[in-house]
Amino acid sequence: MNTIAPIQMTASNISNNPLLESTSMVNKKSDKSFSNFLENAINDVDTSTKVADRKLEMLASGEDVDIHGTMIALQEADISIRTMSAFRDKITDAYKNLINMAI
Amino acid sequence: MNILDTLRISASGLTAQRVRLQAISSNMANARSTRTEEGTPYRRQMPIFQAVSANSFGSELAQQLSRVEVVDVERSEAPFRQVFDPGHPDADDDGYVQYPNVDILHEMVDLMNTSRTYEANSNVTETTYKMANQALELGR
Amino acid sequence: MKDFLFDRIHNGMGKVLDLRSQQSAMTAGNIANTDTPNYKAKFIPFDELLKTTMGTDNMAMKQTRSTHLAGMQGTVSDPQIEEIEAPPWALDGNSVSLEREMVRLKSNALQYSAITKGITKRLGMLRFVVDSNR
Repeated sequence: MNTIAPIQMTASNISNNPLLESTSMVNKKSDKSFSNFLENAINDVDTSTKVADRKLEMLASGEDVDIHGTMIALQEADISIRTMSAFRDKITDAYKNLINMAI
Repeated sequence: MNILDTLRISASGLTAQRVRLQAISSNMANARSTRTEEGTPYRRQMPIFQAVSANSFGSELAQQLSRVEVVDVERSEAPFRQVFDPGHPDADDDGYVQYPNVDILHEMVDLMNTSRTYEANSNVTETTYKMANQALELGR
Repeated sequence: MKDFLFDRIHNGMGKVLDLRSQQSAMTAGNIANTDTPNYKAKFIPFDELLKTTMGTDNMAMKQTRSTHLAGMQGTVSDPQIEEIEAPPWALDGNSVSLEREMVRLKSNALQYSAITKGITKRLGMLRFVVDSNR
């Protein structure tokens, strides 16, 4: 699976990730800096949780009983949040290392 | 999206076959009824089935799904069986008695088919529940 | 982030589940209408459709039919539905064969099961990697 490797990347080589070329979301910034990647990622996570909520709502109200679609959306939101959380931890660690080096 | 539609469709199939079963049992019970409340001999009952859209508000694809509806249970216009039996209370002037237009063998075959189709519809319901449960387990 | 994490196969499998679900409903309709006069059995022809949905077909980018699925782009228009003609011996014009429908029902359910399990496994691997990176 080619999605396993990128998660272990450090901040320096994230901009070389070819997966960043794909643009399926609206409002994606084309500049490939890390901060833009992060901003887009945060928006994506937000969107995916909203999508999951909406689908769950439709399922519960009987409006559109799409069970597998709803479950998949929930799983995608779950994994997106965990990934974001892992990013945050790694970035925090990198920042701490940087701060301690600056003397 | 489709789970509820599918369940409604198979439910309609079960209902239709149950109506058919009632018609068949009425036919078999009255196969030799030379009198009815209307005065004539018993006329064979036939349920009329019609395919009806299962989801008229869904997508184009969803609108093509059909469930089944029993429009009516009609009486067969086929001619009565004439049996020569002058001694019978219901014999006409020529000595012929009119018996119902029910063919027992035909009803037996219908009965077997009804049973098979009912079972198939029941299988659909069960399979659909299984699929829904698997979908619920997605990601666990 | 979504395309960072979830690849073509994941999305393709999701769409196949949608189709399998619809096939199930269509087959239910056929079985319910086994005795309806002049009813024609309908189904979604899967063999060609699957390659384009999963995006493994080289012809996927060329639009040969207006209802062609475009797996890579992520848009799914309604698939072509096929009808079965009534055989000459069917006096009521009905083309439903219970045996054929039951086989289709079961094999479709089996595919649905296989794909949901496949998605679950892949998501599990992904989640494992993400969690182990905390």
